[in-house]
Parts: sequence; structure tokens; C-alpha cells
Amino acid sequence: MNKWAVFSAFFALVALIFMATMHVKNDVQALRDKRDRLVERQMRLNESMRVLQAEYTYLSRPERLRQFASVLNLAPVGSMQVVPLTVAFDGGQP
Amino acid sequence: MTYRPRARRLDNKPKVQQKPCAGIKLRAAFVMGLFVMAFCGLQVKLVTLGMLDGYEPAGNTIQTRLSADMRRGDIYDRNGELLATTLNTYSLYADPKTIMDVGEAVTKIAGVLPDMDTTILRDRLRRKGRFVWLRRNLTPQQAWQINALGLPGLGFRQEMARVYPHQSLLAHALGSVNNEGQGIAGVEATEEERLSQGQDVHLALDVRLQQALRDSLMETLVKTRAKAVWGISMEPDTGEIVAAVSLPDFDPNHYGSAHEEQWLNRISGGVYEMGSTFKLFTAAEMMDRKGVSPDQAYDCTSSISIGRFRIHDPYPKSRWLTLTEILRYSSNIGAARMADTLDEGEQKRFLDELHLLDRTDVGFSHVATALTPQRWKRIQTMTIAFGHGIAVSPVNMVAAVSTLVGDGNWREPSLIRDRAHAAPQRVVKPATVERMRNIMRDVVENGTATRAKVLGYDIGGKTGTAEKNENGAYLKDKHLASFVGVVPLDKPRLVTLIMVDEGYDGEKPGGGGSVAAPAFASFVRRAAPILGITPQITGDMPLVAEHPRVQRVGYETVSFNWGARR
Repeated sequence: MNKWAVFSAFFALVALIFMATMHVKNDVQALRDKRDRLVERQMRLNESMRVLQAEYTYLSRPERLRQFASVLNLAPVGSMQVVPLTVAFDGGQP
Repeated sequence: MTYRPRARRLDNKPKVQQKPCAGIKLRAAFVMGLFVMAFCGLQVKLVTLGMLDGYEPAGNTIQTRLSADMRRGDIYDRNGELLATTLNTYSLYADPKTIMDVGEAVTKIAGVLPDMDTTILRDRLRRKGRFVWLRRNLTPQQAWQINALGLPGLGFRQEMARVYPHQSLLAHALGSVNNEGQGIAGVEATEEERLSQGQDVHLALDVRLQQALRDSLMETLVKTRAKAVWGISMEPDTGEIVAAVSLPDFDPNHYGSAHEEQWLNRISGGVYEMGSTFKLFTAAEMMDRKGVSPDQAYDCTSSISIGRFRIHDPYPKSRWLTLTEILRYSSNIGAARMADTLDEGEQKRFLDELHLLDRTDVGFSHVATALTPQRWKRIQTMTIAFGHGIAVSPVNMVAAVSTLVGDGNWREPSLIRDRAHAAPQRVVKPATVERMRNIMRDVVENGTATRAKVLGYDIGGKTGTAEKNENGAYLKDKHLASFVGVVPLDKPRLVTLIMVDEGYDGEKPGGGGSVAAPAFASFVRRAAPILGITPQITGDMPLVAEHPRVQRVGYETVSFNWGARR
């Protein structure tokens, strides 16, 4: 067989492998970039959640709710208002 | 140039081309082989770069940033309520050299940060350097607003700030951190190792009960004009501390700006003479170890003189009193008589079993050690019987009382949930527990603690009034009042100790019954509905709470007729 043909076939094969490799490499790199963006987005969202949780805790602290209760003319639960269900509905003995 | 004819063979036959020799072929093949190998090497490297795992470009990767962002762990209460967290903040700096118009910059920045001193701001922007801090730990909104000003020469650096959303509510329990983010007090310091590794910590505290206790103590602090008020509440069946407040306190978000007086954690950082509350231990020891019954009588007709000491009652009954009456009327003479029957060392052994003399580390950063007499002889035994001559920590005190009214087992008190605890230790028998509950009920119903009563709840307790000791002398006009209470007595859910330092009942120094017991009642009124503790409704009882707002609305009290349906 003509050795030039063999040589050309060999180089063609190598070139094909090279192109396939580079294609896969680019795909991997693109996926990595996408992953990095997702992780960064997740970190930003986590940080936002932390801020919101801290803010929610600050806004719902008992002292603040008590002030609102005072403005809304609400009274605290009285000890006599805490009764077992049997007493409340069936008129049973305490 | 001369013409030289081509060389000819002598026989005029054409010159025959010679075939290249083997050496040239070999050299050519060698060079070609080198090229092929180089090319193949490149291919292998390309495959390695493109396909094999584990390759990461050096430098700024997501993994590197994640590990660098190791955040300090959060702190939660027993119900998962956030108590402390770390947030990203933005710190504003300036490059004074690039600030074009200092006046304009000051005006615009002051518009966003109105609490900033404009004189200081102007001085900083006029400095000679290339970097100056303007404000640390801005909120995201403030950072956005300043960025939107579009002023050249300003920049932001991302930092982390420790935030306490509940502000001063859990000041001494949580503590605070320094500028480097390291714990310097409270749980932040004691759990520094876990928190710095990013682990969350869960406390046994309940924010709702903590607020209830703080509100009650704040009312007492104001009403009695006391120097300080502190309280601690514990679950007797687990040993967990559900509320712990020491006033005055501070805001952990601004730890550095508090006074030294506010930093003092009186719950664990100090030891105190508990006064007559100590009679509970004397009574328990007599019943449990000496087999004395609650009806056993002791001679309280006159004071006791031992050497230069004289033991007397502030309100003498001048008759024989039973063990129950000794606690009801809080007789020092009676307590001393009881203790005088103990063998040497017996009292100390009992107090040791109750861990009253231990240095108990529950999670607070500052822990004091009990003060005991150097020589524990007869007179010391008699005075300790009514709480003088010995100083113990409030934490140990409430744990010891929990033992007497719980199930008779001492449990290690703890502020932190996920911590290993010592196993419960049997100290007193169940029969002693039952008797102690009855005695404490009697003190509230008929004795010195009637102001601790809360309608519908089975409450027991003991008052204590100790004269403060300054420079070795007891001061008659300065009292340390205390009350230790239990609710409900049939199945104790909370054991609470409240102490008031130099509180006044009107114009005279307040005692345990007049200033501390009402604080306990106020706490129970708030805490019992939170915990769902059902009151015992008997006969005619007003349905609604005695509260000014309710009366204004015009509710009527309703009698329950248990024979008919509602």
C-alpha cells in the first residue's frame, strides 16, 4: 500500500481525534462555567435568605409584637382563658 | 567566467545515478520519527487537558471562595428562633486624593448617613493618604444608596458583621464578639471552637419565656428602684435553663458602648447569701436524712446565744414551731435548732450532693465559685441553716431546689442543648419531694410569700432576705431579696429564682416577700399561658385576666356552673 496514503490516513485520524477532544473540552469548560454561575447565584440567594431571616426575627421579636398589641388594643391571654378542651366544649369538670 | 564541459565517463556512457545509501534513509526515518513522537505527545497532552477529571485552573475558583467564606455558626433558641447570625456588610472607604469636591461629597454622604458627624467626615476626606475608612458595616441599602451617588474616590470592602436581632433580650447569655469576630463573652466565648468552625449552636433558652422574665424583672427594677434584678428559670425534669436575665443589661450589637455595670452577669458571675431560701435545704435534710416529720416541733420561744453570736427572728412567734411552721414564718431560730441536731460535716455533705458548692459551668462565660466558711463548726452550721455565712451561685441554687421539688434527682443545669450532661443523681427520696412541695405550698398560701400567688395556679416557694455584707459588716438598710418558686406544684414545669438587689417596698428596704415574690407572680402570669399550663378552675373565678385593657372593653366576670353546658 502506498505509504503516503497510510501516512495521510494516520494524520486524518489524529486530526479527527484532536477535534473531538477539543469539542468535549469546550463542552466541559462551558458546563464548568455554568456550574460556577449557579453556585454564585446560590451563594447570593443564601445570603439574601440569611438577611431576610435576620430581618424577620428582628421584626417579630416579642418586645415589638407587644408594642403592636398595645397599639391594636389587644390584651394578653389571661390564665383563666387557658382551659382544657373537655371543659370548653363538653362542660366537663376541670 | 570560463566554460567547463560536463565531466564524461571515459567510455562516453551516460553517468548512472547512484541510489542513496542506507545511512541517509536511517537519518530521515529518525527525524520523521521525532516529529511523529512530538505530534503524538501533543495529542496525549490535549487529551489529558480536555478529558481527564481533577484539573482545575489555579487561582480564583468557586471552591476557593466557598472555603474562604467560612461563616461563623448561628445560634438558635430551643424552638429554632434565630438569636445570632453573621451577615455580609459593606464598609465604605475613600481615596482622598481622588475626591474632587469634598464639600459635595460630605453633603451627599451625610444625606444617606445622617448620623455621621460631618466635621469628622470632612477631616477624613481631606487627609493626605490614599485610603481612609468612612463607615464600617453598612447595610445593603445604605451601600446601594451611596453607590448610586456616583461619587468618584469612594469604594466598598465586603466584611462580615455579627448581628443579634433580639438586641438586649439575651445579652448575658449570648455575649458578644470582638472586631475580629471572636467570642469574648457568653455562649459566643464558651462555644468559640464550634462557632468558628461554622457549626450552629442550639440553646435551651426559650425566647418567649426570656421576654416574659425580662418584662417582669424590668417592672420590678423600676417599681422597687433596685440597683439590679436578676432571675433564672429552669425545667426540673431536664435541668435545661429556659430563661436567664440579669438587669441592667446591654445590647450585644453595641457591646463596646455599654458600661461595666451592664456587662456583669449576676446569674453565674456572682455568688450571694441566699438568706431564708436556704431553709429549704435544712428542712429537706432533716426529713430525708434524719426521718423528721413535717409536724416535728422545735423550741422557738427565745433567741439562741452562742459565744458572741445571737440568732433571733425578725418577727418572733415566741412558741414552739413545727418544721412546716418554721418555713411558713421563716424562723431563723427554728432553722438553727434543726441544724444543731446534725452531725459534724453532715450539712456540708448534703449541700455537696446538691452541688451547691460546685463551680458549675453551664455555658455562661463567667462562673463564680461558692464562698464557704474556712471552719465549718457548730455556729457555722446553725447560721448556714438560714442562709447566712455561705454564698452560692444562683444557677446552683435553682438546680438544687429543682432537685427537691422535681423527682429527687439532681440534674446538671445547662444553657446549651446539644452538650453532654452528667447523669441524674438521686439525692432525696420521692416522699421527701412530696413533703417539700406541701411545705412550699404552705409558705405561699399562709406564710411570707402570699404575694407570689397567681389565681388558678398551684404555686409553691420560699422567700429570702439577706442583709448585704460590706467590709465585713451586715447592713440593716440594704437587703438582697430573693424568692424561689415552683409552678405547678403537682407536676413542676418551672423552678424560678428571682433576686432583687437593694429594692424598696415603698420607703423601706424590700424583702423577699415584698419585692421578689411579686416579680415571680408577674412572670408566672406571662409564662403559664405560653407554656399552656392549665389553671385549676374552682368555684367562682373571673374568666378573664385582671388587665386594665380588658376592663376598659367592658367584659364581665362569669361564674362557671359545672353542672350545665355552656
